[in-house]
Amino acid sequence: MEPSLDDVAALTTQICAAVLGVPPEHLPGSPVPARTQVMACVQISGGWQGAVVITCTRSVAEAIAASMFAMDPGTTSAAELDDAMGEMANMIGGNIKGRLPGPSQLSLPTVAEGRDFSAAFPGAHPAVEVLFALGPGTLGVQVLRQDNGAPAHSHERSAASAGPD
Amino acid sequence: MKKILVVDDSRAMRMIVRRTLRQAGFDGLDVQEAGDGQEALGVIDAWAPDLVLSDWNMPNMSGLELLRSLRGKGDTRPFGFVTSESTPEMRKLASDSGALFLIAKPFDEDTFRAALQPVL
Repeated sequence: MEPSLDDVAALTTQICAAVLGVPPEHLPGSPVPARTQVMACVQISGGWQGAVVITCTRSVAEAIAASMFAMDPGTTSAAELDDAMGEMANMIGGNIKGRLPGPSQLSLPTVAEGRDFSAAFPGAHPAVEVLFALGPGTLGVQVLRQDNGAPAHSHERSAASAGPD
Repeated sequence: MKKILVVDDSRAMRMIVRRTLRQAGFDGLDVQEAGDGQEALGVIDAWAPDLVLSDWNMPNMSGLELLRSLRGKGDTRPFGFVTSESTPEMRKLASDSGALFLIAKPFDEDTFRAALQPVL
């Protein structure tokens, strides 16, 4: 059993509304990597194997960090941005984990930022992908399920599907 | 003045917990912070808080390991979890290990008030 798209959309909306004070708008389509983006992920291991990955543009990550630290947008440090994005991944991943078969373990979050980078999750493929409009850009949430033998999922930017920023 | 120790590896979340305590009406608290269970043990020994609010999943020493370490040496001070994971199994594990409550992230001031009022 896995969370549905509606489950992931509802959980993410609830978390953003509670933490940021603004509910995101669920958009049609899947997350499209931007040229400059921030990615945060947590991995789940045990009764269900996989990862929860959130991605957004730098401007959205700055807005998230500013809201969590109660600062003006653009004034947060790199460490504060990483901290805030890691905690967002932790909250979204932890809540999604509660809907998955267990028992399982949630990893500590990993955060990456850069231009034109890719992140591979060997053996994993997207189970649920949700896209939101949030503040100055978009926020993507992917639930990746790991199946042995399945082709690797690569979270990467492609010239044909690149978003703004 | 009641002393509360907030334990979380995210500085952003520690700030949010502090804000929520104020919004819940718990004014005049003396609040200190620790970034993981290991650091919390040192603060508890030196500062003797009245309540520990701890995340579950942290580097070096988890919240559950912190709680078990305290109870293992006979420390019965009030302890509650504030965590993104809240399965029935984790709630039972927390309770069986001696936690008073488990607050799931995200939370609001009403949740904090309901959980902390009996303690504070």
